[in-house]
Amino acid sequence: MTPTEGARPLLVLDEDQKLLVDAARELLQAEAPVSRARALRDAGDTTDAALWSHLTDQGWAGVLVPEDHGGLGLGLAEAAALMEVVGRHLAATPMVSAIMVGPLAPQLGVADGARVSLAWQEVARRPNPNHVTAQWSNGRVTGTKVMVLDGCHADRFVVSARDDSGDVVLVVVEACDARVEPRVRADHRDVARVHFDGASGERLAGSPSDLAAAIDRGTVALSAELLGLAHAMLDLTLDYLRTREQFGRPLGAFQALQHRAVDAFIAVELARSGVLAAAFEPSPLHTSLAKAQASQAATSVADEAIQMHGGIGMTDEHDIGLYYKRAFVAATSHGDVSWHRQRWAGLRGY
Amino acid sequence: MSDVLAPTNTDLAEFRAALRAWLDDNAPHALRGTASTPFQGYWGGSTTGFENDHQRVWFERCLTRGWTAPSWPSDYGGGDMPIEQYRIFQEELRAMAMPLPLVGFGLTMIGPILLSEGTEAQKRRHVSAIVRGEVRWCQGYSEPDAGSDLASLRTRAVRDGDDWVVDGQKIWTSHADKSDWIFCLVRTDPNVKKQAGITFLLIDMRSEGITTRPIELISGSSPFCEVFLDSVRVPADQTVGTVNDGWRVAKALLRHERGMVGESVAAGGARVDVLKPYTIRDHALEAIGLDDRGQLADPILRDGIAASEMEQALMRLTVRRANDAMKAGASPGAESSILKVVGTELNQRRWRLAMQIGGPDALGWSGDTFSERDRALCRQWLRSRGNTIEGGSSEIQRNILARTVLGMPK
Repeated sequence: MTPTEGARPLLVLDEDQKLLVDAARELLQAEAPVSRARALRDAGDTTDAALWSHLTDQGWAGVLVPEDHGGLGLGLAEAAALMEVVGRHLAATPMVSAIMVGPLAPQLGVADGARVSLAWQEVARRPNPNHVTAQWSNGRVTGTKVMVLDGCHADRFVVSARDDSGDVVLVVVEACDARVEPRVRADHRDVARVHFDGASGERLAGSPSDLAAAIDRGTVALSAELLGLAHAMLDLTLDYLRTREQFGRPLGAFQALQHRAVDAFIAVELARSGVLAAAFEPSPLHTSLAKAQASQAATSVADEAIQMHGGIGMTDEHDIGLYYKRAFVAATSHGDVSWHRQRWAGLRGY
Repeated sequence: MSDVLAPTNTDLAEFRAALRAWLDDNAPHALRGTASTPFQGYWGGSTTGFENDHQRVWFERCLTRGWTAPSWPSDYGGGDMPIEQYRIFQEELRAMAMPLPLVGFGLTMIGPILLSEGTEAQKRRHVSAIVRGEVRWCQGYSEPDAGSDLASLRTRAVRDGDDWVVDGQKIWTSHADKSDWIFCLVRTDPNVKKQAGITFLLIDMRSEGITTRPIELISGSSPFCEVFLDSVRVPADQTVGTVNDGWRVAKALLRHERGMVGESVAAGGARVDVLKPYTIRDHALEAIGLDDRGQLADPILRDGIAASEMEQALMRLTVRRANDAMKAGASPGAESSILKVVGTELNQRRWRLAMQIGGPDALGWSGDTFSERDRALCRQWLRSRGNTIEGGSSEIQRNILARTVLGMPK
């Protein structure tokens, strides 16, 4: 668990990574301000198709796709840095799915801009990659997957299923061969329940460890998004505490609120440490550490953000509510705090 | 060989390799693998000697190279190590779990302040004595009526010819009874804003009029003392900085202290027993055991232990992130400011958890019917309650963070 000091990467973004973050911020500020998330919600759109084509143009949709397959061929560190920006801007994109399936592009042979979702989970509260009952037999998949991220907008699914000898395999199914049931959640985005009723599918070269790695990449991506959400909510709240006056003083001058603001700040800083570790030194332990702390930080900062904003924080008019709802949805995707603590305990042998 | 280890060598890989070889030849085997906190080792001073010969040999071997204070200037006995080399030095010692050749408040607190604020004469006299382990220092800040509100301190210094005459009382002075000198905050002007009338003095503990009294804590013992100063004469040339500028000097020093406490918690790791590497997890596996699914038989404690281990891991990563930022050439960011409050609070939660795991036997106080470990655990748990008070209480830390890092208004 503790590698030697000399072999460790520095937990700091390098110059190239900082440039990437700056460029992403600039694009999202222009193309995806929070007002756009609100407009999409009002229009009943659950994903930002225009932003996705911008991200595809920039190559960021293929951040983890190898260069000789048309991607940027970058690492999880860059992917996580992009996801933090996505979180800060509350952007609704299939980036998490793109990060999960990106490295599988050579086997998938996908065209640029194609949307592929990983359909792996079968019980909403149990994000365990080994819990697979879907069957793959004679080239056909039968089973139901839940919590399929970006599944309502996918062209194709990568499905985990068991072959005739009971081994877990990955199968590619065209979206038109599956029955997709959209479920709109509190964040005004959708998640799919996907039924495969003997859908024809092609086996993807790869192993169960590819599946576990893809899921963990998604977990890190969600953790980074949660970090971005938490940071944005903290910034909004600190601004409010500095400017809003009651009893003739700014709210931020009251010690009761100062100390709670510090606790929110601490939660976010610890989440950043976890996300950096998971992105720079990926491992199951670091992944669970990042997801647990980022989920904890984002949801607790969200609660504090509404409370410290007072009544205005409860109104639909204020952006805090949009962040609040997304934070809770992301926090419960790919395992919540409790699930990742249990996973940690299991990995540590107790 | 000596060239490779010289401060001028910029080939860090070569330096590291040569340092490893030097350590392999010179680090006493009995000390390897024994360090668990940065405060473990030889404290120097005239009242306590070396604990054993290994400690003495290790100290002397480092001293000849200036490595008892590796990063300090060689003019005052230090090793002149540039920061990059010094980090490697620390990393290599940590990798071997070797104790530092010299520890104490001279090295970590007053030394750095004298190097930046002291007069040439003060540096020659005090810094060199610290490096050679001749003088042990203690810190005279808190007073019975000046705890969190430190600036309201009342120990008074009045000028009389070439001396100050100091009267008052200090409290919570760690190791005052074993120290040779004390650095003190004293009031030199009672008629101005409280921060503006404070001066920073260096006082010889053997001066006439100084007495110390140890303080017993709920854990049964402690390094803390009260220090009474009764018409103590202090030569005026033992003033650090200018008269009435002591608050600024003290604040600079407090920053060293807070960083140190946080790092010590991070370095201490999840060990609940100073006798051997023994973690909360080991403790639970032994005391509670696994059920037939291979999980700890108490699911609530299992969750608590995971939460504690994860919190500890995040703390360590945050320390590493702060260090990495400096390695990458940035100044330490906001993350370093949270280390004291996070480190001490998680430490308390960890000891509480250890007590929960231990159950009724963990409350053993004395006698052979309790294991040595259980008795030690009980006392360390009690001692940990002080972590969030000493070195600036958690409440004061949060006040400072709110204002300086988050920009909250007054």
